[in-house]
Amino acid sequence: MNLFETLRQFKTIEPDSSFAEKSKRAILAYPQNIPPMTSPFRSVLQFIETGAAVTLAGFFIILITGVLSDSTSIAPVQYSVIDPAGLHAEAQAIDMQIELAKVAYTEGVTTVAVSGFVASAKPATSSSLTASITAATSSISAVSSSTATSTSISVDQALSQLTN
Amino acid sequence: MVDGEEKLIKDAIRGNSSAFGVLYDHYQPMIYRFVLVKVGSREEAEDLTHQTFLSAWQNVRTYKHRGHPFSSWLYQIARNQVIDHYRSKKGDVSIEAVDPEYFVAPASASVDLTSKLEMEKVQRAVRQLKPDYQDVIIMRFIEDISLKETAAAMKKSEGAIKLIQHRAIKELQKILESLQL
Repeated sequence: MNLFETLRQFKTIEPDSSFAEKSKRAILAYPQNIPPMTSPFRSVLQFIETGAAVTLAGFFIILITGVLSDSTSIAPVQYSVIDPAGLHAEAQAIDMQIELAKVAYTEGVTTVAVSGFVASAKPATSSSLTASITAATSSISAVSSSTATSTSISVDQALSQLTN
Repeated sequence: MVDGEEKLIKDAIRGNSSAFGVLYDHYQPMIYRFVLVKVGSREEAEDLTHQTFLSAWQNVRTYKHRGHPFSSWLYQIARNQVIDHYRSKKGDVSIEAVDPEYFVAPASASVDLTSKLEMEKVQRAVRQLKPDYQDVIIMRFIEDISLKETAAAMKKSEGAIKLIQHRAIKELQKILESLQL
């Protein structure tokens, strides 16, 4: 079976002529639908209607958000709790502490390393080695005590110490 | 396309019933076949064709010529009529429910019995396709309508119609194979 040939044969199907005639007469006896006229007055009226609707919607949005922001129990975000100045100061203080702690740690490590090197550079006898270990230990304790008070050192002081 | 179609449409828009009558005579068999293949019942096809042209006549003033023939607009109305028909029927219509008088049309008297049986089989297969596939098969292979016109009637791009056509033929062949088993 040739599918396309069979499909083409469908074109031979025609409606009953008496139906066609009857249907045509019935259709043409109906009146046509008249589309609504678009007068300038109607356009202006539509424009005003749309404008009023948009304005009202905007007004209600402002009204609702205003009420919500005033009411602390309904408001989604508690704006009054947020203090930008306080938050800024707190954030800055945290940053400073971190920086100073880092500075103190770097300084302490450098001191220990330097004194360690100095001590191990010329170890003449076992007594002098013991003395240098003692010196290194004392310098480490000094560093740890300085780390504990590192918060009192300003950044400028810390930087100048590092450069020296 | 009817000779002087644009003038006939303009006259029909002005309310000239005889101008619309000419358009009806030209396009009615085409729309009838389109609906008949989709619904499978002569009576239903007649009703839906009538509704299609009634709607076209009543709303012809809203028709805007956009470079596509009048038939594209009529096909759009017919498609909507068939969709509404199935929606209102609420329930699947059996594919076996083909009118026995379906192929006994005056113009098909020359078709022999073997061809009639083949046509019946193909029609059953076409009715198993998706509505979009059915539309493309009817428009492109029964009515021999151009790709552009089919695309306009189905409100799709020509590329989309090519794709649907390819898939519809493959699907139709598969269904026919299963029917022969």
